[in-house]
Formats: sequence, structure tokens, C-alpha cells
Amino acid sequence: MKSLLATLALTTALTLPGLAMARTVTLNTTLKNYNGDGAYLAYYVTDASGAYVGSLWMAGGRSRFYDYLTGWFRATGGNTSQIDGITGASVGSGRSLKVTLDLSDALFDAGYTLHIDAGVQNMRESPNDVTVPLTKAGAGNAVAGRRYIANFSYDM
Amino acid sequence: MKNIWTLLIASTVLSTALGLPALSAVRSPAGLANPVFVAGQDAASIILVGEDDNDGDRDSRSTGRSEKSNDDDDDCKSKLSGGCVKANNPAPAGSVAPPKNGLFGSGAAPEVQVK
Repeated sequence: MKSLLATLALTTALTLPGLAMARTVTLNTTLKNYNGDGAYLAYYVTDASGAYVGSLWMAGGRSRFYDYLTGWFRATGGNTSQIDGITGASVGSGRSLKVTLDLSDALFDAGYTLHIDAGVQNMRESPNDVTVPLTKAGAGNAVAGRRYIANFSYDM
Repeated sequence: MKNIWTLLIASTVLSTALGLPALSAVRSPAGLANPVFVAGQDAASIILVGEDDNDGDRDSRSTGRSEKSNDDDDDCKSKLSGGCVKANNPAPAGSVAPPKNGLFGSGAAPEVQVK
């Protein structure tokens, strides 16, 4: 009985920090009515020095179109292993995308920046359509996009 | 015996009468039996059924961007990456765990909603 309790205490002690280190974050993106095909959107993070850290989401599943997302493509070389398991469909003109992710708590208030590159077939590409520093205080604040994105916010 | 000789002569005459014009037609360069492909001559290009000159990419004059077809069969990586190499599309969300890039708290699958 004593060893069972010790085991329970140990597993709880190991699990709790893990839960505390992660948080559910929702990325909300609304596109403008740009009258074109579905937009490809690449969500990725850079550190304080501007170096690519990793990707959070890719809207658009056809890798042959990824060179429209010039910032993301330059950082990753179009390496699709960066976005395995975090890729969904492209987003139509005027529509809204809501993605809920389980993100590391260390991502916030640590100098990281979220970038969203946008690309639409036969239209100009838009690297850094949105760039927003990842801070806990910035949650819920809508940011206007440059070309295809009407606004973006993240909730946590 | 007489009948056999008569039959032999008749068949020979018939063969000669029919065979000689046919033989001369084959040998004539302008004859009906010209070969389709002649060594040393420029052969016409072979046209395959279903051959398509369009490689799926067309320059867009208004933007300078490449217009790419939606054909699944000819997916290739960007020309920026050095030619058309068969591309691997990423695994969709939910089919595998998110990448271990230090950004994700756990291996939970993302939830997506489009309106």
C-alpha cells in the first residue's frame, strides 16, 4: 500500500509540471474579400534574433504551392516535415479560420514572434501579412493584416 | 499427267501475272507501298494519344506568378528548389502528432474550424 501511494505521488509530481508548461491557444484569422482562390497561410515562429524556430500551422496541403509563402519557404526550404500533423485546408476569400493548439507555455513573453505568410494563386504573395509578438498580455488583441488577412488574434 | 502439267503451267502464269506488278510497286520509290519510316530521313514526330504540351504551369502576365494546375498527378516541388522533383505533401492534422519543435506542449491533435 505504501509503495502504491509512493508511485501515485511520483507520477502526479511528474505529470503536473508538464500540464503547467502547456496551454491551449486559439489562433483566429479572418480573411479579406480579395476575390481569388483559397489562400495558403503559413504560421511560424521566430526567436528574438529573427531565426526560424518552428511552424505552428499550415493552411493548404499542396506542397507545390508553398513557394508562394516566401518567408516560410526561405526559412524551411519547403521541408514538409516541419508541418506534418499541423496542416489543414486552404482558406477561402472572406472566410475565418480558427485553429486550437496545445502550445508550450515557454513560447510567451520570451521574445518570440508569430509570423503569418499568405499566398493566393495568380495574385501577389504576402510574406509577413501578420507579425505579432507572442505575449500573454497580447492575447485577445486583434491585429490587422497587410494584404489578405483582415485581422488576427490569439486567445489563451 | 496431262492435267497436272496444265495445272502447273496455269498456276505459274497466274503467279507471274499477279506477282510482277506487286513486286514492282514495292520497289518503286513513289509507289503505294512506301515505308512510313525510312532510315536517314527526318521522321515525323510521333504523336501520342493524350499527350499534353501544357506542363501545368503558366506564367501569369499580370502578376508574374506561376499559375499551377490542380492536377494531383504532377505535383512537384517549387522550381526555386531546383527543378520539378516529386513532392511530398505534408501529413494532415490528426493523422500524425505535431512536429517536435519545442513549440507544442503535447502531442494533442489541433482542432480546426473554418467559417
